[in-house]
Parts: sequence; C-alpha cells; structure tokens
Amino acid sequence: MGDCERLAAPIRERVMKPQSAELPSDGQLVERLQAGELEALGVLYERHKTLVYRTALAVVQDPSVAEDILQESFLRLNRYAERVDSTLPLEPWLYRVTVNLAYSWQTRRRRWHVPLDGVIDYLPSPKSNSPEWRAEMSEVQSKVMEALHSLSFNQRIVLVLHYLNSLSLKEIAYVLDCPVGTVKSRLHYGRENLLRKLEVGRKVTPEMVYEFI
Amino acid sequence: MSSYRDSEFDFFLRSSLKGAVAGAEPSPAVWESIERQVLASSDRPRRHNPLRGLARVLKPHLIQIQRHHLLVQVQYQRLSDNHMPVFTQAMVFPSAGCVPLAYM
Repeated sequence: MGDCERLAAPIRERVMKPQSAELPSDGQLVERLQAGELEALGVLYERHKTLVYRTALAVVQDPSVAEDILQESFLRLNRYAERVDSTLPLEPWLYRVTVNLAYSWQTRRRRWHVPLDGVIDYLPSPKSNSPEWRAEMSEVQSKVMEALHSLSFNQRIVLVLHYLNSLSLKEIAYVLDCPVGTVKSRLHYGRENLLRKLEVGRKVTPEMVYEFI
Repeated sequence: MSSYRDSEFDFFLRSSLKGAVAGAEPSPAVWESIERQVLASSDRPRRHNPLRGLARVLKPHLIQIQRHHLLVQVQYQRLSDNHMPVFTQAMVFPSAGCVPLAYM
C-alpha cells in the first residue's frame, strides 16, 4: 500500500481540486456517491465511459462484451463506493476493475469453449467476430488488433495500457498491482512478439508505417 | 532483427491501437441498464439470491451464443418473501430450432 500511496501522491491535489468552477472533481463525485446520490454516478459515467469502454474493447475485441464490462465496472463503483478512497484518482481504480473483468471474461470463455464447440456445430455458420466494428477499421489496424489478440492476456493488457491509454510503466504497475520490472518485461516481450507476428504475416510493411506519420 | 526503427514501430502501434477504437462509443442502453439495476438494488433489502448463481453460469454461454447472432432470452425473477424462487426460465432461440438448456 506504501507504493500505491507514493505513486498517487503527486496527483492527489489535482484530484480533489475541481476541474472548473462548475464541474466537481472525481473525488467530490465519489463522496456524493458514497452519500447515495445516483446523479453523481451518472456524471462519473459520462466522464469515464469512453476510457473504460475503449480499453475493454481493445482487450476483448468484442463490442458487446466491452459493454458488459463497462456496465459491471460502474455497478461495482456504485456497490463498493464506500471502499473507494476519494482522495486518490479514480481512473486507476476503474482501470483495475476493467482489467479484472476482462481477465474473468477471458478465463470463463476458455473454460466453456470446448463444450460449446459441440453446440456450435449445429448452429448456423459463424460470422466473423463483431463484423460492424471490424469493418470500420483499416486493414492495417485490423491486422494489428488480430496480432494483439493472439498475445497472452498479460502482455496484451500491458500493451493496451501503454500504447492506447499512454500510461507510464509505474502507472501500469500500480493498476496491475505488480512490480515495475514485471511490467517492463511484459511490455518488452509483448512488443517483440507483436512485431514478429506482424512481420511473419507480411501484412505490414515499413511503407505502411509511414501512412500514420 | 527489426525492420522498423523503435520509435517508428512504437508510433505505429500507438496510432493503430488508438485508430482501431477511435469513435467507438457504448450504446445508451448501457447507462439505462446501470440506472435500472442501481434503482432496483436500492429498493430491495440485500440478501443472498441463489439465482445470481444461475446468471453467472449462463453468462459465458450467452456471450458465445450472442456472437452467432441468435436471439437469447433469459428470464429470472426475484425471490418471493419466503426466499423461494418465483420463476426461472432460460430460453435460446437460434434461427432454426431451439438449443435445449441441457446443452448450455
């Protein structure tokens, strides 16, 4: 807990200070939620729903599952509001819940995957996962997401938090509750694995990289 | 071993990930569902509900089945005052036929 306190300390003042004269801070909203104000949960939801949803979407790559995770994250925020420290930033707490829910979804899916295969044989032919969402991506983005999804959960979540959410190694360590060295290692090997998968697939060429520059 | 310079690959990864989820927004139905559940939970006293276990067991299946664009309906109601389930039903409607609950 000492590490958490130390990592959170520099931003503690910012959290408690209102973002403007009209907008209450997350800390103030958490305190109102602890007092039973549903409106406070609504404001927090509006403020953080995109962050939670897009993080979950990048990890599980299924919009309907990402919506389930978003819903459960804020139900937990309401249920366990009294345990949330209003003097600490809320985003790491939300990241932690999102990561835990995504991990639970992944392990449950693996556990039920084999028995369901038998049922699926009798069902109409499966379509690609979330075709509408995939259709909106460019080919390169789609290949990167595919390669990302083939990584282990631990490597995938570190890459998402680092590259999508721009969290530092220390912040990721705080969210995942593990040493910074572990995060550094997962980031390194995850990045190497991703690079290898993209190169082996010959789907991404250096020229494509420059499309983004 | 890399054909990219590190900074380029990092930039590429960052751009690709951000681009893949850019514009993705949850449905308004998510908040409506949260609001409904929060209001419902504040109306009733907290007590052990064995039907939550049913929902936990069914959920992974529903996630799988929803992927195949099937209409899934699961109904379960609150406990009656004497703590007995009032009504429990789970139905799955694929495009042709019906998957028995035993298969789930």
